[in-house]
Amino acid sequence: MAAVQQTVDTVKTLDVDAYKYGFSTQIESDKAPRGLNEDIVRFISARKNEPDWLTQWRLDAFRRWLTMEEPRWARVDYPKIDYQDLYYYSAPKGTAGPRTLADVDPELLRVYAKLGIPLSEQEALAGVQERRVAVDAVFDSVSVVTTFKEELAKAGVIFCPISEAVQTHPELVKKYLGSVVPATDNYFATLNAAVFSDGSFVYIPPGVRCPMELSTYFRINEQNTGQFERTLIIADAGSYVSYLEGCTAPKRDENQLHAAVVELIAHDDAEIKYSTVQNWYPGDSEGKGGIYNFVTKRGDCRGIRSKISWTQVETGSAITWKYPSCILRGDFSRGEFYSIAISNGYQQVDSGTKMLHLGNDTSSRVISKGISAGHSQNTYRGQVFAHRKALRARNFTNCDSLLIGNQCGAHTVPYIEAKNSTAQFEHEATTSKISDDQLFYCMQRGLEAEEATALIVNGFVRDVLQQLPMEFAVEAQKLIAISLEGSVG
Amino acid sequence: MIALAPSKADEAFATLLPADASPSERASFAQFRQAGLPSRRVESWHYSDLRARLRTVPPLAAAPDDASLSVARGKLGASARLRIVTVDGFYAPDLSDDVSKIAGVAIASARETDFLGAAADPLLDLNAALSRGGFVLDIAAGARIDPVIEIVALTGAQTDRSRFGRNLIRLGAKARAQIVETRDEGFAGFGDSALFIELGEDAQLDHACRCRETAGVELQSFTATLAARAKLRSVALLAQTPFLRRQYFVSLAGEGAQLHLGGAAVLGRNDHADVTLVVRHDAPHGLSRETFKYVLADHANGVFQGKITVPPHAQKTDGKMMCRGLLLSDEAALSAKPELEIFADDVACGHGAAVTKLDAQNLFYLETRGIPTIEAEKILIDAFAADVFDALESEVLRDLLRVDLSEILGEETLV
Amino acid sequence: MLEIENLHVSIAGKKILNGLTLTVEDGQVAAIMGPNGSGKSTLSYVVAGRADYEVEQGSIRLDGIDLLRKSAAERAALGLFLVFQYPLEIPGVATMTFLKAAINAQRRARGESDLPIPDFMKQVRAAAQKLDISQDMLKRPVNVGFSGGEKKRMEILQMALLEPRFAILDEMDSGLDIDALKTCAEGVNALRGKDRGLLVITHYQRLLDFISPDIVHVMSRGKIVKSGGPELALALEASGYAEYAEGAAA
Repeated sequence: MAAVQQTVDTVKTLDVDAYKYGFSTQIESDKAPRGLNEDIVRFISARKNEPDWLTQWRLDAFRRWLTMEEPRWARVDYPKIDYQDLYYYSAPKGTAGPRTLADVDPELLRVYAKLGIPLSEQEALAGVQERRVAVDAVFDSVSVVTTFKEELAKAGVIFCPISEAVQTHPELVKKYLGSVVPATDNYFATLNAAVFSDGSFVYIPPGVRCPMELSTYFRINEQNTGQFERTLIIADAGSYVSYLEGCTAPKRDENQLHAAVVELIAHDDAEIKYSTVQNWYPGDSEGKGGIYNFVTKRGDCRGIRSKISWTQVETGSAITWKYPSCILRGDFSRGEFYSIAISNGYQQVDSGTKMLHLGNDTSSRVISKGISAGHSQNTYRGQVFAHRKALRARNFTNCDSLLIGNQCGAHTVPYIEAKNSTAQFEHEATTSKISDDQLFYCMQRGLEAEEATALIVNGFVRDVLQQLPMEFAVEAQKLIAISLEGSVG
Repeated sequence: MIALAPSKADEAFATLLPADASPSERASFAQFRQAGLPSRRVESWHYSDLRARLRTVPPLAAAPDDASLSVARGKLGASARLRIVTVDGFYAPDLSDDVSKIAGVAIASARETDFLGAAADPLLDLNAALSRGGFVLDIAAGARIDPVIEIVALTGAQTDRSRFGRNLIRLGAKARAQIVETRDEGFAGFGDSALFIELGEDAQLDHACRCRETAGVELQSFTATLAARAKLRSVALLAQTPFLRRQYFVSLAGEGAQLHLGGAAVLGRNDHADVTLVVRHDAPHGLSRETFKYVLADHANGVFQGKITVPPHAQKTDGKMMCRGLLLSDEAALSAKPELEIFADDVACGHGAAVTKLDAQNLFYLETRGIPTIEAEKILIDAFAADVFDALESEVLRDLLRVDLSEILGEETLV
Repeated sequence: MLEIENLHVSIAGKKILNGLTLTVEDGQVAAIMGPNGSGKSTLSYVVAGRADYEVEQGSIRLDGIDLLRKSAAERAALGLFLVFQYPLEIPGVATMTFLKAAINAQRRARGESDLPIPDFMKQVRAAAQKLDISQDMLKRPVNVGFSGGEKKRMEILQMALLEPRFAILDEMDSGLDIDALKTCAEGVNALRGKDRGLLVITHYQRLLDFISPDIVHVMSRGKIVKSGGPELALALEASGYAEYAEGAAA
C-alpha cells in the first residue's frame, strides 16, 4: 500500500523531464584510445595486470568476434553501430587497485548518493540490521568501491570486483569464467569476452547463506563509452545468495552501447536469486539517444536440486536485447524468470528467457508482463526446451501484454520444444488494453487518470513485483509510474 | 527474405518449367528462384528441414492419360456425395460428378489461375509457375448449397511424380456451402498444392480436409480471404504424413469476419507434420479461433507455428489461438511457436500451448470400469483430438472426420 | 443539492438525453424510473463525468458548482458517488490498496492529510462488518471473482467509506437476489441523512420497497415526463411503461 502511495506521489512531483538519473558528472578519467584492435584488448588486460591465460582468452575471443555477424533476428531496428568509434575502456582517475571507501573520490560518492545508493557503511550499519545491502559500484568500466567486504569475508563470502578476483582468486575465476556463456557464444558476448573491463565476482562457499543482499550499481558516465561489465556468481553446494543489479546512465544525444555478460553457477542444493532493475537512459521523447542494451545472462543449474531465479524490471534503454536463461542440468533443478518490461516513447524491447530442461525432474516457471505505450515496440521472445533424455520436465509460462495508446505494438514469440513424452509444458498469453471502463471506475472513486493508470498497471504486474526484494519493489513501482509518464492522453 | 545458396532441388525445378510457360509463370518461377527452396536458416522453416528431405525432384506429372484415369477410377469407389476429382493435380471432369447441375454452382477448368491475394511465399510461387489444369468452383451470390461437395485428390498411374494442384473456391455474397476435401496420394512423389478460398460478404463456408497418406514430401498452401461478416470454418485431419507442411494464409479483410480454423494431426512412425499459419486481422471487429492438436507416437514430429497479426486499424479484434500436444512416446517431439503480433490497442488476443501425456488418472478410471488399457488409451486420444471438429457447423463434415479419426486410431498402433 | 437543467447529451451522434431537468434536494431520496433505453444509465454516467458522451447543452451543478468542467476524479472529490450497475474488475489490485488510494486521493483533493493507517483499517473493518463483507474479500483484487451480490456490497462499502454528499444508485438491484438486495438496501438506508441526497435509478418498483423514495420521476426518451410521490411507482408497477413510451412517440 505504501508503495502504491509512493508511486502516486512520485508521479505528482515529477517534472516534464522524466528521466531523473540523467545528470552527468565531471570526473577525470583515464581512457583507452578510441577504437578496437588487438592492442586495445592487450591494453585493457595490461591495465588490469591480468595473467597470460586471460589475455590469451580475450585475444581468442576478439579474433573470433571479427569473424562473426551482428544478430538481426530480434524485432529491434537501429542504425549500424560503428564499433571503431567507441572507447572500450574508461576509468575514473586514480582508482587503480583495490580500495576502501576512504580512498574514493568524494565527487563519486556524491554521484551515488544522488542515485540513492548508499555506499557509506556507517549509515547502513546505523540502520536496521536486516536491511543491509553490500554494494559494488561500477562507474563506466571499473568497480569503484565495494562495501561490507570484510564482514562478508567473515562468512567466507567473496564479493569483489572481478578484476580483483582475477588477482586474489585466480583458480576460481579460471575454473568458472566462460563456463556458462562461452567466449564464442554470440556476437555481443564474444565482444564482451574480448573487452570486458570490470564487474562483480561472487563466491558463496558450501552451506553458507549469504548474510546480506549483494548489489551492484552500474553507471555509464563517459561519453562515447561502451560498457562491458562481466559478472560471475558461484553458489557452492547448499548455499544461498540474493543479488541485485541496478543501472543508470546520463542523458546523451548519441546512443551508448552496453554489452554485458552475467554467468551464474548453482551447485547441488544451491540457490541464486538475481534481480535487475534496468533503468538505462531510454532516449528522449523523439527517440534520440539512449542506451543500446545487448546483454547475455545465463544461469547454470549444475547441481542436483539447484535453483536459479531471474527477476527483471526493464524500463530503460533505447534498445533492449536480453534473454536471461537457465540451463537446468541438475536433476530436480528449477529455473524461474519473472519480468516486467515497460516501453514508452520510441523504445524497442525484445526480451524473454530460455529454459533448457536437460536433467530429470526439472521445472521452470516464466511470468512475463509487457507494457507498451507511446510509439514503442515490445516483444516477448522465449524458449522452453525439453531434451529427449530429460524425464518429467515441467514448465508453466504466462506472458501478458498491455497496450496503452494505439501507436505501439506488443508481440509474443514463444518457442515450445518438447522432445520427451514425460514433459509437461503449459503456455498462455494474452494481449489487452486498460479498459476505459476500469479507468472511469477508478476516476469515479477520485483517482486522476495517471494515478488510475499507475494503479491498474501495478495490479497487472503484481505477480512479478512480489518476486523482488522489498527495497527494489518500491523502486520498481516508482519507475513504472515514471516510465508511463505522458502515456495517458 | 534471406537469399540462400541454391540447392540441388532448385536446379532440378528449373528443368521442370515447361517451354510454353507464360510470362506470369516465368515471373513466378523467377521469384521462387530468388528466394530458393527454404532452408532451416529461414525462421519459419526452422523446424522442417525441407532441403534435407527433398534432395531429388521427381519429373513433372503430365495431364492424366487413359491409364491414369482408370487407376484413379479404381480408387474412387461409389459415393453418395457429389465429387470433383483431380488426378495428379489436374481437374478430371470425366471422373467427376456434374456439380453445375446444382443451381448456383459452376465449375470450370483453369489453366492459368493467377489468383489474387496470394501471400509472398516461395512454395506458392513454385506452384504458380508449374501448376496446370486446376479448377475454379463458383457458388453464386445468395445460393445456399445443402449437398456436401467433395473434392478428391488422387494420383494416377505414375506415382513418382511432382504434382502442383491449384484450385479456387469462390462464394458470392450471402452464399453458403459445405465442402470436404479428401486427399489420398499414396506416399509417393512430391506435392506442392494450393487452395484458394474467397468469401464474399456474409458468405459462409464449412470446409473439412481429410489428409491421409500424403506424398513423400507434401506441401499444402491454404489461402483464404474473408469479406465483411463472412464466416469460414475449416478443419483438417492429418495422418500418415511422411513429410507434410500445411500452411495457412488467411486475411479477415472485411469488418466483422469470423474464422474458425482447426486441425488434428495423428502421427506415428517417422511422420512429420508442420502446420504454419498466418492469420491477418485486416479489418476491425474480426474474430478468429485457431485450435490445433497433435497426437504423436513413435518417432513422430509435430510442428505448430501460428501467428495472429493485428495491424493498427483493426480495433476490437478478438483472436485466440491454441496448440495442444499429446506425446505418446519418448522419441516423439512437438515444437510449437504461437505468436501474437499486435499493433492495435483495443483488442483481446491470446494464445495457449500445452504439451502433456495421457492423464494417468483418467486412464485408471477407465480401467477400473473394465476397459482394457489400449482401448482406454484410444478413447482418451479420440476425445483429445476430436473436439477440434466442433469448430465446424456442418454435422455431416464433423461426422466424416470423426469416422476417419476412429479408423486411424483403429489402424495405428499408437501406444 | 444536485441541479440538472435542460441537459442534452448524445453519444456517437445519437441523441440520448433530450432536455432533462431535475433537482434533488439535500436529504431527499429521489427515484428515477423508466423503460429500457430511456437514458437512465446515460444520465448517471454523464453526471459522474464519463468521457465519450457529448453534452450539447444544459448544466449539472452540485451544491452550486458546475460539474461539467470537472474531471470524474474532481467530481468524486466534490462528494459525488456512483454505484455502478456492473462494478468493474481490476485484476491484481488489492481491494484495500484501492480503498486507501481512493480515500486519500479525495482527502488530498480537499486539502486534508492522508488518513492514518490504523484509522483506515478501523473504518474499513467496521463498515465491512455491517455489510457482511469478510476479511478474505478485502484481501482479494477489486471485484475479481466476486458474485453479483458481493460486488454490490463492495460498492456500498465504498460509499460508506467515502461519505459522499450525493450518491447515484444505478440499477442497484440488477443481478441481486432478494436477500442480497435487502443487505444492500439496509446499507444504503443507513447512509440516508439530512445532508445527503440520493438518486435511485431503477427499472423495477421492487427496489423502492426497500429504499423508499420521497419523490418519483418517470423518464422517457431522454427527459423527465412525470413526477409524483411514492404512489407513482406503484401505479407504474401495475400499468407498465407502455403509456410513456407511446406518449413520447406521439
